Amino acid sequence: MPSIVYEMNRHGMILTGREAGDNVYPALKAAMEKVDENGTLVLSFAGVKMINTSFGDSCIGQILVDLREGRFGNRKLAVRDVGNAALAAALATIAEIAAAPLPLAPA
Amino acid sequence: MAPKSFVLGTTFPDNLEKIFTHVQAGDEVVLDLSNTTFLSPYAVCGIYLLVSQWKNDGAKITVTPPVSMDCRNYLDRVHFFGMLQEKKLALINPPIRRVSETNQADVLFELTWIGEPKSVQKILTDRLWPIFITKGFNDDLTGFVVWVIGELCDNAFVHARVPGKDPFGAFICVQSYSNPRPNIQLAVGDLGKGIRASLAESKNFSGLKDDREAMLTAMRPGVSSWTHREGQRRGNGLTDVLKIALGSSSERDIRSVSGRIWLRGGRLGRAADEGTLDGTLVGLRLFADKVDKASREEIEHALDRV
Repeated sequence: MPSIVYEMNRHGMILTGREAGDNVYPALKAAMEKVDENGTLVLSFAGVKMINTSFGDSCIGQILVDLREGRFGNRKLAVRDVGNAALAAALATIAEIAAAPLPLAPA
Repeated sequence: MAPKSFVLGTTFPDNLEKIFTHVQAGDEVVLDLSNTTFLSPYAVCGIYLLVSQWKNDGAKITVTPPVSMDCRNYLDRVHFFGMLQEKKLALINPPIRRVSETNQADVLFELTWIGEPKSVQKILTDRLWPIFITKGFNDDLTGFVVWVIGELCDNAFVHARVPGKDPFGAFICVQSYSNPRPNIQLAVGDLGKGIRASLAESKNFSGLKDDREAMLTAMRPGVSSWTHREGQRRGNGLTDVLKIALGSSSERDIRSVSGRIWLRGGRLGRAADEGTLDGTLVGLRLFADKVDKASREEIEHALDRV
């Protein structure tokens, strides 16, 4: 299925703060709306060293909730280029809080 | 009237929690560090916040530096004395001779005040991350440290603004040690309203009996002053910090106003009644060879055993 890659490093090398995450949500939502039905939005973390849960929950977590509640039809969200264990653990926590899957896409 | 004297112990220091107190407006107060030979980041943050608290109380404060030159110079290099002087918080008596600012070999990340939320990302990106990598720490450990500091700073900015309590924001201090094996100790503190008062803004948590119960409640997933608002998934910051502390077999102290919760050997416990420090102060030790995150079930189990 066609996918769109969204580079998270446009928001910085370290992504922290709920308020900053709130500001990123509209951009992710707009990117999600450009994905074909049945397609995937892939968030690339190349160049991103860390994300904290507050930031991630307010943008990625909110998209996951939107998906879980059917607001993006059959579209999906995935991540790739996750470069360290802490970043992977934080992304897993964000998915856990949102109660939705956040799979790893091939690079 | 004779000044009120508060004498800190030698290492850690052992009586740190007991000297956290309020004083009266107009009091002359002496914080005597002359016997002190070692201060952890938690202690450095704690005594800086204590002096700030006394200043807010309206006291005139004198700090007596450590006799130990090692400890005195270390406190200078972590910018403790510099911050006291810049903010005009206290007289340092006897005055200290400033050490070379280029000699920072034993300082990892000095006492730093972050006064606005957007500065957190900049400080973590431009200063903390490069320092850690330069000192040889890998991305995994540095990432967990950044995660913890980011969450605790977030909490500080949400809960720290209280009229008449300066300064607003978060204080950070981080240090590395080699005994008993390589580890990082970090502290994040603020002079805000504390966890109990923050949670009490939600009708769900208005009846918490003391600060310790409030902290234990706040460590559970999804508990925050926002919990009653539909659609909010807040209240995971302290939970994340506990997950990392438990998953890393680390040690942790978290104090909020007049209570403290400790973590040692995978067990959480309530500290006995101690002093009062406005706001919240968290100290965490992470061992460099084992940093991980505990599961939600593991932290629920640990909290149920307290």
